[in-house]
Amino acid sequence: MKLEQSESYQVNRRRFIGTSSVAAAYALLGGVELTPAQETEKPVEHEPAGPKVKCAVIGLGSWGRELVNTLLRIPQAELAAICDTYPAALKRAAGLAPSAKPIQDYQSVIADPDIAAVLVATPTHLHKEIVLAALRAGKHVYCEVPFAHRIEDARQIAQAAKAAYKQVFQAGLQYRSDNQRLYVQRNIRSGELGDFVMVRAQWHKKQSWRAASPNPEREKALNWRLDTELSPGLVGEIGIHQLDQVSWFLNRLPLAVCGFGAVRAWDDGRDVADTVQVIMEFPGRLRLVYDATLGSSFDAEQEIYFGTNATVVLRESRAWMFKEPDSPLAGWEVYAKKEVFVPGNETGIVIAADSSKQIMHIEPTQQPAVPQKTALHQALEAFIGNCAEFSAEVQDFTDAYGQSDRATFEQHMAANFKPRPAAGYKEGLIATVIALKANEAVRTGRQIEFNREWFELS
Amino acid sequence: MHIVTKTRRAAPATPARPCVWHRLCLTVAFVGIGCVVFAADTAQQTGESVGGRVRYDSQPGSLVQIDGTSNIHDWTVKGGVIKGFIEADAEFPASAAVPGVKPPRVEVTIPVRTLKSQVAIGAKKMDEIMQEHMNMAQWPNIEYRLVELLPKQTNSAAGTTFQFDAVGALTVSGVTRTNRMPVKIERVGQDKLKVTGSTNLKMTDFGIKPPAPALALGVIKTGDDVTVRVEWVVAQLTRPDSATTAK
Repeated sequence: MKLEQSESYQVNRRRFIGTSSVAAAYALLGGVELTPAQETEKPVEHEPAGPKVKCAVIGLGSWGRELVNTLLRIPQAELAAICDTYPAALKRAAGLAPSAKPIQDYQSVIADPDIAAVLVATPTHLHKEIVLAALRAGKHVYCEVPFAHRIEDARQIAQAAKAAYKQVFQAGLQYRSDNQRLYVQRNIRSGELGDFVMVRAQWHKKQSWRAASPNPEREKALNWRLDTELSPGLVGEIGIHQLDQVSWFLNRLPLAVCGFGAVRAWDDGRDVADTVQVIMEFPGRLRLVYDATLGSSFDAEQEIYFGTNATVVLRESRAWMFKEPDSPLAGWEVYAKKEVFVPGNETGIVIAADSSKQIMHIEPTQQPAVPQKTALHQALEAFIGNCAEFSAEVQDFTDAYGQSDRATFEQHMAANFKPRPAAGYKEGLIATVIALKANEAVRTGRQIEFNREWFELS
Repeated sequence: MHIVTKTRRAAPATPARPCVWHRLCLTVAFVGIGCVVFAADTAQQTGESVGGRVRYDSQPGSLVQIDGTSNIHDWTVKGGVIKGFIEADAEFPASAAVPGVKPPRVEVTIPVRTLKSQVAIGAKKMDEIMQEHMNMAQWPNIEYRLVELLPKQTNSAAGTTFQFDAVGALTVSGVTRTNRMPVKIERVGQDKLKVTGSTNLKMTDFGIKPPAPALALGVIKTGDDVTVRVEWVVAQLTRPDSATTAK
């Protein structure tokens, strides 16, 4: 299970938020919304000039089907195969993508020379074997996060991705490709918020995490998230995206983490906590307080960055800035759209790429930009686009210059290949380490200090 | 300049003509041409002799840069792939400084898709516009073939750098024109050559209408004139995949 929900779910949530007291609350608080510029990267409206990227999705659970659905909307992607060991899952996904070849054995997918890229969305503990085989076969790989349920396995994946320097490897941290969050990240790092005093993040959704199954064997395979030995837990499976975002935005690696967890809502014999709290310490005595629960949907998910000059609130694809009365005037916010939030009647400044003073000066009444594409859509577009352009550059390089040493090749690519924003193996490993250690803290109830070597590769 | 020939290679079905808006960076394409650099790495590489001549093949580190203008701001496109070769006698380029000597054989190919806009935001879009204007689907490469190498002067006391006017056939978007470009050929080490050159071109000479895309800042009208700068490194080497043509 991943943080981002399906687009239909998002739409429903957006409607809900738009009319709920939550939206009204932020609206009345007076936030300035932060949104990215709309003109910078218009969607491609025609067929791509180059050949399509033939790809396959391995693992067809709910998230794997979300990948399938999204790939089908990306013109440059050709979904050539779908793969799952469970026939019913394969059949269900085949209904979404009838032109994709259904395959039960992932090795057959990897052995197909026509398939250039594979997207791995199997249960977390099954990633390693498939990803390593795909990289060995020369495939581009998109691997969901966390990379693995054990740090040693995650390191093996990252190490193999690092070695495969003529292939594209992307970690499934879709926020890293999201225009809106890329914009907010620049805003947060600009220093405009002053010194950070604390960060708060949450994910609340009422759902059991237990799936119905026809027999005990399938039940065990299907409900791996409820298996203590295999599950990265709520903070590992869900929280990884938000914890990574905080580390990314702050540009700091955590120093220590402590956590708490309990089965509060779904006492069906499970040991994996359905409600967790985590406190993570970053350099500068800056702490993140995070909580997640499967027992309540109230207040959904959000991240709040508290600064001495201003606070930024992110909710799904929107963000607002709330300035302190004594903070200096940056200038652009004068022209930015503002919404009043309750409780507190505070004014939020919309943070969006379109909130640049130039754009907003021209069109002060324009509505806040609601991204047309989910973070996942943007992440997969980045993956497919990077696969196509990287492969083309490799081919042109080889045609012109023949084989070369790795240093020369990487020097050429650094100068001539500008990838779309996406998380790579380094970011994926860091996020996995943070999430798995946070889950370990939750399970054991003890504080864990991060060793910087955990984040580094040889 | 005059049209020498118009060649058209078998190409896939021509896509629908892109809308006029999108013609931005076309320019880019021109790149190709001229400069040649030879590089041959010293110790382990031995020059391949072709009929008593030495062959130099392209090396990484080559660069094509196109600079243009617009009503908004100047723009630049760069590419790092120059495919091709030089076949010349063993004394080249010194031998070419003597008038009347048979010119070296030089063929160059630059894939249009390797040319990348250098703007910070919207580069992918600019590349798309350029590729559409250059009709990349039908004419994926810029090609150049040297016709004549006219010596100008030797400006290196050590005799390692020579200047010429390179006269060649430049093909962009399927239109071939004669191009005259001043080039400098420098011997780097024992087996490597670096060719640098720069030439001014007009998009319309190659049937390319300067792009005028409508973007957020308004309609961007690009100028017809572009400057193409090339740094080409070539080297003697033995490479199994070396071919005698640059296609």
